[in-house]
Amino acid sequence: MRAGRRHFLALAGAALAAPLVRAAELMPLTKKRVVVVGGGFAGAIAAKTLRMANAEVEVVLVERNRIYSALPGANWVLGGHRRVGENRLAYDRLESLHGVRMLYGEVQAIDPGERRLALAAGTLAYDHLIVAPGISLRPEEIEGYGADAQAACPHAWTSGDEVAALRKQLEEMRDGGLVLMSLPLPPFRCPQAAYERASQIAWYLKRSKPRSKLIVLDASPAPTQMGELFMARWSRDYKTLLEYRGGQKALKVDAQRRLWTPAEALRGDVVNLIPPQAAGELAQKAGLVGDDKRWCPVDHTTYESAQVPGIHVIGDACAGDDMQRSASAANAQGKACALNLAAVIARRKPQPHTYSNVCYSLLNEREGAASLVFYRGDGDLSRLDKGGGTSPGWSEIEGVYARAWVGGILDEMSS
Amino acid sequence: MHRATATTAHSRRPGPGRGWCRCLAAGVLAIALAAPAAAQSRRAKALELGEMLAQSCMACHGTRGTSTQQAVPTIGGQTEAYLNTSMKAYRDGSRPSTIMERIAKAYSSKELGALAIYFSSQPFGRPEQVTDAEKATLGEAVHMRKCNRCHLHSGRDTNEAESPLLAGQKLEYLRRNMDEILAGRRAIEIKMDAALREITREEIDATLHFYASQHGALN
Repeated sequence: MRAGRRHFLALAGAALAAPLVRAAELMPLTKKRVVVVGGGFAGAIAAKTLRMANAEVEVVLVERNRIYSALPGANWVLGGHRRVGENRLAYDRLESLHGVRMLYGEVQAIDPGERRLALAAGTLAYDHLIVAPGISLRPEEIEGYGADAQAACPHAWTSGDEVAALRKQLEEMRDGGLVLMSLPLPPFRCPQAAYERASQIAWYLKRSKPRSKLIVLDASPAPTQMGELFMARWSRDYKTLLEYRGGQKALKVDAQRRLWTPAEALRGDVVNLIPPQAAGELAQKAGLVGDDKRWCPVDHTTYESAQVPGIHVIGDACAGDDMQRSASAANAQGKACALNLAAVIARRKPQPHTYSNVCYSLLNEREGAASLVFYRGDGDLSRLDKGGGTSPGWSEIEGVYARAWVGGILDEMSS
Repeated sequence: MHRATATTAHSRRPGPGRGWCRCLAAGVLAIALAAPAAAQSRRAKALELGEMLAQSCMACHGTRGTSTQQAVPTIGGQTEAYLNTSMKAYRDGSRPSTIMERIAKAYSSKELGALAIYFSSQPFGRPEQVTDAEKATLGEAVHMRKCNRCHLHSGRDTNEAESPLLAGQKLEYLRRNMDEILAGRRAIEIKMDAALREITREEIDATLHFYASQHGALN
């Protein structure tokens, strides 16, 4: 008993003395530690899955924001049938239920040789590192898309709260106004969500501002398979209210909400301009992006970076010829990476894995559909030639499932 | 388990002068052990494969298969036989679905088996649901009269390999499935024919409330 108490005091003394010796170490390393950077759909579930697979391993999740404002389902805020608050989550249950240690802050640099991260407040040592940097936007690829034009023509492509701000712009617009939506060339985050967004804006306009018009300017010449499913209904439900124009890449924009494409110049009352994208800033800074300077090549079994050995990269930032970037795929990659890392820690062999990417969408306030693709991660990433596919049409039951999918994946990553 | 028992039996044998006997005994033991040991190792492999495959399921069906969504069933802790039957019925289209057929078609029978082993090994989580207490009381009586022979112990157990556990299942999911059964869209539930005779819609609904109302740690 007394020995135990002395031991505790000694430890406490060491902890107090530590900051004097190594002032910058935020959490001294005492046991096997995995650090996960980024608490989005890939990172949060990776942290939780690691703790569930091996409770002996310390898992630190580093995240900028205390409240995460998710994107899936946020488009429904535009349609007026979801509150943005339903898309906000905190990380407290990852701590209380799974023992994930949260560290709020922004990673500024990674030192893979020393296995240490630098944050503004100090450094953080690790044994294994997983990064989920998400995406960064490339406004510089559109002429004139500087700070003023970005404020006038928001992308609303990185958080649910940005989508709520876009809704406010629609509410403030006069009836009879012109809404423009601009989509970049793929690859970009969740193209299906762009079609869903157009549908939700049209749904809102038809009911609240029926003399208005929405023009979707798609840089791609033609819609995806799922896009065609949307369009089959656009022509029926919205006729002249919603117009789709393929092959109309945004070349230039200004703060007066004027937008130039190869074919024309348009002026919108509300402009939602989704710019080209690349892996998140951290990936760029840490040298994780490949020759294309955009995405991070990885081994699709372990998600170890091909650029910087010893760092695992998951989620939208990953490169993959045929990879879709979505919450669902990020979630699946986060879990596969975590289980394989847990295997390596336990001196077992990492396993190739099959995972699905499902994207549910709502056409209006009740009808849903889903596209589903199965992947095999085995060094390379490949699509399975069996299973998967797109819903044959829109249905109320898949509308119910669309809401359940969002609710389920948000619960899963946060509790 | 087998291994432990065998080792104990072996060590009891007295030593000197009976080497041939020990050899024979060891040989018999090896043969006796080989079958269950191989089965155990196959099961462990299937469980490992199942755990990896199951990750994609959990985004909808919840952590370890305990759903947080009314429209989505809890599959963790469900019986292995029922999970296998369901997925195969989704795969061949004999059970109506939206996305489940497209999901099930991606997996081989071995993979479906591994998924069934993984999810049946997880606890059946039963968080509290909103149910009508009066209906649940009526439903319990209906359950005793009509359902008890297959869905044993208030739906916490099952008598037939392919009958699902029902206690704590999501109410909305139960309703949707019962609607399909009543509409004759579920070939597999022919055996429910007798149970669904001489029963009112109100009684059926009450029974579903009874199953859904059971929550927490159950015996």
